[in-house]
Amino acid sequence: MKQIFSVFIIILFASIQVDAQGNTFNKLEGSLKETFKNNLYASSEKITSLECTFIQRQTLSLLSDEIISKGTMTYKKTERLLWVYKAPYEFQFLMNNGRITTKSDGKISSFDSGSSPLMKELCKIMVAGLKGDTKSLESSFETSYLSNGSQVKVIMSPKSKNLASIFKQINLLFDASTFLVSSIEMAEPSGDKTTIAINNVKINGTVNDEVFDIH
Amino acid sequence: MMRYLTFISLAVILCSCTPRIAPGADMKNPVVSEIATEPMHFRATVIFGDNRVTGLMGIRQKEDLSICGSFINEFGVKGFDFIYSNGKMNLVYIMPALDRMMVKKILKKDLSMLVKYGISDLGMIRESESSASPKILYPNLNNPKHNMKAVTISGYKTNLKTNLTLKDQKYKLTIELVSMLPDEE
Repeated sequence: MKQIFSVFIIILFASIQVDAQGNTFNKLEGSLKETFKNNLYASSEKITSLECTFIQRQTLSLLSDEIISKGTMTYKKTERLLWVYKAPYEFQFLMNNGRITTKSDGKISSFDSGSSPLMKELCKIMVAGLKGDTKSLESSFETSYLSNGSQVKVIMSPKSKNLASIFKQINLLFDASTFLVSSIEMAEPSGDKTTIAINNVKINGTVNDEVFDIH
Repeated sequence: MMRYLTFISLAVILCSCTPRIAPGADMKNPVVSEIATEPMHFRATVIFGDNRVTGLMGIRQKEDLSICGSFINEFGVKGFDFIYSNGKMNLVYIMPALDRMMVKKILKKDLSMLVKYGISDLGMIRESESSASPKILYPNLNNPKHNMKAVTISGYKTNLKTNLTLKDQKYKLTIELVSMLPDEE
């Protein structure tokens, strides 16, 4: 009896996570998980455009350092994502139907996303994360869902060796009532971590196609 | 008693003459004041043949005088981490796409030279140097040890920003670093 009780306690604690802010997250299972996933997916399907600002914090463990970048992101259906860094310097990244264009220091370069599997995967994660379409990531990641009542954290672990060599784990944090993403956290095998806090989200506003012209 | 006092005095004098830091007999890294207390951040461009990668490079000197650096792209994905200590360059992390023996060999060699002759000599770059006539940090024609003719390291300052460039003509590798101002970081 004692042993069964011990196992129960271990399982209970194993399904509880406490984040850096001290929030306790419990694992969503069964119908609760399916309901949230379906609602999140239904919400993502309604998104035709999305604009937001972001603050990116990159920890560099070797240097005990942190680099902070700021900018905006614009998404428009289908599969157009413009990522504009305004600080610490200007850098633009555009994913437009399989074509990647970057602008850095006035220089523009363009290439097929197929030639950069890393960037292609990163774009897929960002678009899915921004929209809340976690279902589209399930072929590449093992996912688990945790909730603290007001937020839902989706923990994703890469399935393939290739992806695991770049990302140890990716966490997406969603508002449980609006289904909007509030942060994307990417942990690398080296121990470094990138956290992108998403703010000022505007859904389905008018986004002109010209926004995606980099010149 | 007198003998003891002499011994103690001698010990005190010898202790006071001990070098400031001595992590190892073969320690070669000088103190680089620009990166000794805080990391310095550079906007970095690495050009390898026809491929051009941009990102950020953070470099700092640790208490043991080793010089450490991390290169990440704009999205935060790390390219490589290095530690330069006792005249040796160690690539402690390299992203899987770059993890090839030849790439690592070239990177180790050129990063080693960049740290030894560029980062370590940041203080030698003055505002008087410009992009048109940069300070040549390597090779110094008067130094017979500077015999790697394919490699050039130069630097100049503009608007308080330090520009440092390594060009390796043999392997068609260029590393450009432009320091960021505190208000940009």
